[in-house]
Amino acid sequence: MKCSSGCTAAKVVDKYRPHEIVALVKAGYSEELINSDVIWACSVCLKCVEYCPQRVSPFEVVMTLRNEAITRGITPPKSFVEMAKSIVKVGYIQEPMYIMSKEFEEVSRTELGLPEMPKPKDIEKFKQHVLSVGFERLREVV
Amino acid sequence: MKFLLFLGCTTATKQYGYELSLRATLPLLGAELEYPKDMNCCGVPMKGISKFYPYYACARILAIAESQGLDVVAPCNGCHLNLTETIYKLKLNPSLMGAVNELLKEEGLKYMGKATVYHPVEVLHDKVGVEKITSAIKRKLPEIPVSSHPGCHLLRPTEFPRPEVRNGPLKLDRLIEAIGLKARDYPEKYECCGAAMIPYSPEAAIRVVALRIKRALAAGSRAITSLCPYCIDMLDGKQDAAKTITGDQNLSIPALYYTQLLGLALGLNERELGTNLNMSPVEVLLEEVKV
Amino acid sequence: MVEGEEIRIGVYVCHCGINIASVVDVKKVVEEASKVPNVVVAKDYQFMCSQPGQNMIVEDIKQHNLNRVIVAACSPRMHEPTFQKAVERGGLNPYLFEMANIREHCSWVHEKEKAAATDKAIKLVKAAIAKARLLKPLKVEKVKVIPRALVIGGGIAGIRASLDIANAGFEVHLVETRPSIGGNMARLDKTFPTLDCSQCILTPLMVEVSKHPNVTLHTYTDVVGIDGSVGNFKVKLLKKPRYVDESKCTGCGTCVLKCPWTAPNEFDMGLGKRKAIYFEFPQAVPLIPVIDTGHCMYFQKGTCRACERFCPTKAIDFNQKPKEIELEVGAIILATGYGLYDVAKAMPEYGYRKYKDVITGLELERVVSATGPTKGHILRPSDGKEPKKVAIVLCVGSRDEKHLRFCCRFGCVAGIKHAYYVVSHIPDAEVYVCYRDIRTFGKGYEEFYERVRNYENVRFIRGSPMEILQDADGGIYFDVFDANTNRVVTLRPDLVVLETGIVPHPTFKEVAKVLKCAIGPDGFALELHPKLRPTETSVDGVFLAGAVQGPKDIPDTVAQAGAAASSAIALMSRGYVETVPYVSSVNEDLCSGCGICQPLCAFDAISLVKKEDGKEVAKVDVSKCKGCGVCAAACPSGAAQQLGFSDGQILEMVRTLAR
Repeated sequence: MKCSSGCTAAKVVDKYRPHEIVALVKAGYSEELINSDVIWACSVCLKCVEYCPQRVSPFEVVMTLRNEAITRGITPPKSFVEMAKSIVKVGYIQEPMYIMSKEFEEVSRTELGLPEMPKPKDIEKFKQHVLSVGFERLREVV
Repeated sequence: MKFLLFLGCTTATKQYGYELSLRATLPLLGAELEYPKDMNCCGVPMKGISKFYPYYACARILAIAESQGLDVVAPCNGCHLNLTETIYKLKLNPSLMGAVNELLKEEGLKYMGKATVYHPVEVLHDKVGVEKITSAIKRKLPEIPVSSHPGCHLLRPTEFPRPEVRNGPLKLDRLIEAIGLKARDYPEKYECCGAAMIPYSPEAAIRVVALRIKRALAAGSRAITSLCPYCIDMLDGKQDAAKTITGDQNLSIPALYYTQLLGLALGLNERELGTNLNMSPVEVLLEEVKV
Repeated sequence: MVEGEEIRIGVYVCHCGINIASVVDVKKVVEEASKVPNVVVAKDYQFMCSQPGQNMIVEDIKQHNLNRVIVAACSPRMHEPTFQKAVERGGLNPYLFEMANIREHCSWVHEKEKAAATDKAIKLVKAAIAKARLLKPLKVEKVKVIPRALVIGGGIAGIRASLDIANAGFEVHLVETRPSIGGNMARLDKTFPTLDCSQCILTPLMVEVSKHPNVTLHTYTDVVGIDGSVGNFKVKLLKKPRYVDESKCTGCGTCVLKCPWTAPNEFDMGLGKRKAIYFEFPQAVPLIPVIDTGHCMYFQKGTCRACERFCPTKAIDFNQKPKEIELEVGAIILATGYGLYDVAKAMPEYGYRKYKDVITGLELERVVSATGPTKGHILRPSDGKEPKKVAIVLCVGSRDEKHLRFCCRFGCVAGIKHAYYVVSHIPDAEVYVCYRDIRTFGKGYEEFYERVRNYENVRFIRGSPMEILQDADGGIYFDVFDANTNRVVTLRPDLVVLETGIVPHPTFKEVAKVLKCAIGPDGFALELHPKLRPTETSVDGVFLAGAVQGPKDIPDTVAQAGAAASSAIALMSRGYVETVPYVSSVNEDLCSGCGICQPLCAFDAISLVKKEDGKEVAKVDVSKCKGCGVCAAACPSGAAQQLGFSDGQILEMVRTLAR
């Protein structure tokens, strides 16, 4: 239970306990987890992977559960959907944003003299591939 | 020394200060950066949607680098991890390699397993070297205590080599000292910034930030520095939110990219380094560093 | 048996209850065997190893004039000696016996293919018959055993084993690398579960062993070479210079008192200081100091000599040199004990050696000990204050796939004892014991656990911290998930005690190398059989006592030391050993003296010797040869042959199997 002692998410999300997730999966309760939003709380810090004395990776278990939830047509937290949509559209989780400088100017790449963000050359082909490697299971994206 | 600069989403779409300071400092130290013509996201935030996607996305990036005959600099910890993991796993798993190349073929690309990936901390510490930095800087910055926050993915997992190790001095700390600042330990320097929790619960993620800042302040640090756009996005950008959520008005500390601090030592101005884009109270520190 | 005599073979097929007979058609095997030329008798029986089974062989040898016997049964490792004895009782040379393994090699692995298993059993028996025709009687030699034992390691295991052997009337040489005997047990304050004072029960034994007329103590001495084999080991010891003449020193301690230089105290695990000339601890045996040249100003800068000036018996000798000692012994007992896992290096997340107030269990023992760095007061290292909140973490490095896979077997009860130390020294302290499982397997351990569990200021938290951190104010803190309350608790202890895993003592590796004894995957000495021969090693005449074989508590260590001693005593009191005749033999007429075999021998058993006619040939020292067969395999001319496994015999088996 070292994982739950050191887990970043467990310190701020009471119901998130990596050891419990692994134990539930082992005991055959995956269904419960797939249908719960708790699997989306992981902060991807990988401490559980690093310090587990049994060489278990709760992180991998959680990612597998997330994948399975998507396969079942369960909608993940909204931001994940937005990021996925954006990848399909422009190849990145979001497009360049305007941010406020200390001088209260709204600036983005052009204003800062930065070149245009390089995007996938053949965006249609890229989109097709992204969908084929799993994004097509996400209803909101298709 | 020339690299293909693969920025990744966070740096390219909002953490402009990182890109500005990287482009301003690295070439001065002999590390040229070439901008790619074709690029995409590394896939790290999408692992939960599809475990396969990051392999395709990273192999695509590496294939582009190979086609340009360059190694990659990935300034984001997440990108660096995912790219390194892809190289490692695809080497071990020829069928995965085949599946990925099957897709890339249709885009006129092929990943051959040749390109190497570097993080800026490696470029600066291993390629350029602390000595060269010390001799290249225009002036030493004052001995202000600064805490490094390397970020999870520079350290973990140790299944394959990572740029930083927990057992021993950090490269980032050596770099901090190379420009005159004092590296100040704080207990949670090996911890997570909480960025990946934002989609699930922004509040929970910001509570993580609050914990880090509180500890760094308690350790007497006058600034936090990192070379990860996620970490700085959180540690620099979420201080006001941290104050609101915890009610602790003291959660305020300058948070900057190491390349911004390095740029100051190299004599570059604040606009060139984008320090006017940092949201944390960097002015106090800049004022002190100027003298 | 006379050369040229007719070969008359008896074949016995064992059912092994149903182990063999439920898979292999034993009647068919008998039927097929009886058709083979030279087979006079073929029988099957339920348990060949039983008394009636063995008697059947004895009777048949006499009745049918058998001169070869084959038993088709289990592995020869199991019962070859049993049947060889039966064959001998029947009046034959025991090496005119051959075993076909139709259990491990057949019925157990082909459970679901009965017909094929029967075919295979028949083939194995036929191959054994083919070899049996070519068997020759072999001679067992008797080698005298030197009635003297060497015990390596002067901890409780080595002391106990030495005393047992000495009390049986044999000479013992006890070697200890440190300046005093006592080992890790001497560091302990109390022993669980009875809370006896460790020194009180250990020091009488230390004194007894040092005064015993049959025991020669070699302290501050390393084993640098071991040659020979069971009954006749030649041992080389290197006595390190103490720079104190042991014959003159009275142990008055004036030198220690006058020495102005200090160094970290190894005995206190580096917590306290000692002088540059020092006794390892106040009850050291022998009570003779030693100069640490690394910290002595005379050795470093050539000045001072205070010890020499004040010594009333003129015992200081700066010119003392290392001394080589050669010994011949019949038996060796390994009792090198354990060292602590290097948690500072391997587990930086626990902050040991980084944070002063994170200490190991063994360090706490020194802190609690009246002769320790704080004179028995529990004070924390950082500021010397009395800790009011102490966290004890179990399984640090142990039972961890990434560190030590095994259980340290005393950490749990040591941790419970350490909780007791804290509350008995500081009644208003709070203690938190973080555990994964509590293993209280020994006699009285569970009762002791219950006793400590009932203290209201000792709390057991079911969970291990992932990391231990230090705040800017020096305060230690960590989060630990407690499965009993399903909460992540943040603890801010004044002192953290890590019950670290253990590894073989660093000296063991060297000794194992010179002895060529087998090491297990955990790094500890590998016993010959985990249940039936736990004190023997792969090297005859070398026995194991204590933690050299694997983690052990004191009761188990003492018990094994007694067992190892009695094995050594049995060997020495019989006075001789019988050599195993399956050794290499060189046909000098065929040997070209090419020398290929010599460097290949792992046991240095082969030498090249000049014969009277000037021809050089390889010669095998049968006392060293282990019968591995490497030389026979490498010999280009077929001159080197392994007795009992000659090329002709093996090839005949192969031919039969290939038919």
